[in-house]
Amino acid sequence: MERAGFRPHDPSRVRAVCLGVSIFRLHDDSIEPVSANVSKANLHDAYKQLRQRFSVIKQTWEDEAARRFEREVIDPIESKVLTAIKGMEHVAELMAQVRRDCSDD
Amino acid sequence: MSESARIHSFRALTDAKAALIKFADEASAALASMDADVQRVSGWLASDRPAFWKAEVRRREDAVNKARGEIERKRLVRAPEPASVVEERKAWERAKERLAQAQHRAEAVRRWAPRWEREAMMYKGSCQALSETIHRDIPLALARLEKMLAALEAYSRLAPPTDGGGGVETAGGVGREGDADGKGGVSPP
Repeated sequence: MERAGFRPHDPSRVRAVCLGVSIFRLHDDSIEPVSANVSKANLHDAYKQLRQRFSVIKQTWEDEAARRFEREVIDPIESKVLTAIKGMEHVAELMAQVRRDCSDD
Repeated sequence: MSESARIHSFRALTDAKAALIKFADEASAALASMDADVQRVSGWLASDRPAFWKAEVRRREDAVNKARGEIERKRLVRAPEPASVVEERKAWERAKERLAQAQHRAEAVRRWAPRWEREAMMYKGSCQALSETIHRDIPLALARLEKMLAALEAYSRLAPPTDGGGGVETAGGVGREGDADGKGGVSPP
């Protein structure tokens, strides 16, 4: 799977993503905002999977306690994830600008 | 409570726990990775770039002086005959352009450094709520699920399963029985 800004032909990047660590790195004299997009995608995927798993769970846990748990715990996470993703997108754009303005290209 | 309903309820609650733990781990890793990147750019703008462009400006100033010197040298060598310095002038112009570019980049670094720090603070603010959810709300939710599981277990010990008897009760049903606040489920500690 190829994500925005992710170039799988670079083995060091692939390995870094698999290890779940930051792959932002200095390359020559420039910076690469690759992992900002990876972090954003990982967070999005994590929330999507939580929702999917909870919808499966609800098939066998479907009473007032389940509805209350979803309302009080699961639902509020969405807006927080979206706000964080928006922040990540903004930072990724800025990283690209910083790179353009401050690198020796 | 029937045996199958109890098993389903146990499984649902343990699955919910696992799903929340997985989400917390992955979201936490994503935030940590991003934080590291933001910090790295801060360091890049605060230390690496100023030093790099300072050295580059000096190096390119030397290149401009050298190119200018080449023009003078050629004129002197050919004197009193007029010398063609077209190529030398082109090289001098190129050197001046490169110097201007370095000065422009150095200025950009000076502009970006404080702006980046402001943006980094704003970014941290945008992740604050999610971070609190990961470190405070989710552990509370896990404790809540633990209580539900304990209540379900206690209930199943009190009322051993009988074939076809008892209808279907779920974790929530068990939780409500012991729930003093009347909201249903088991409250977090």
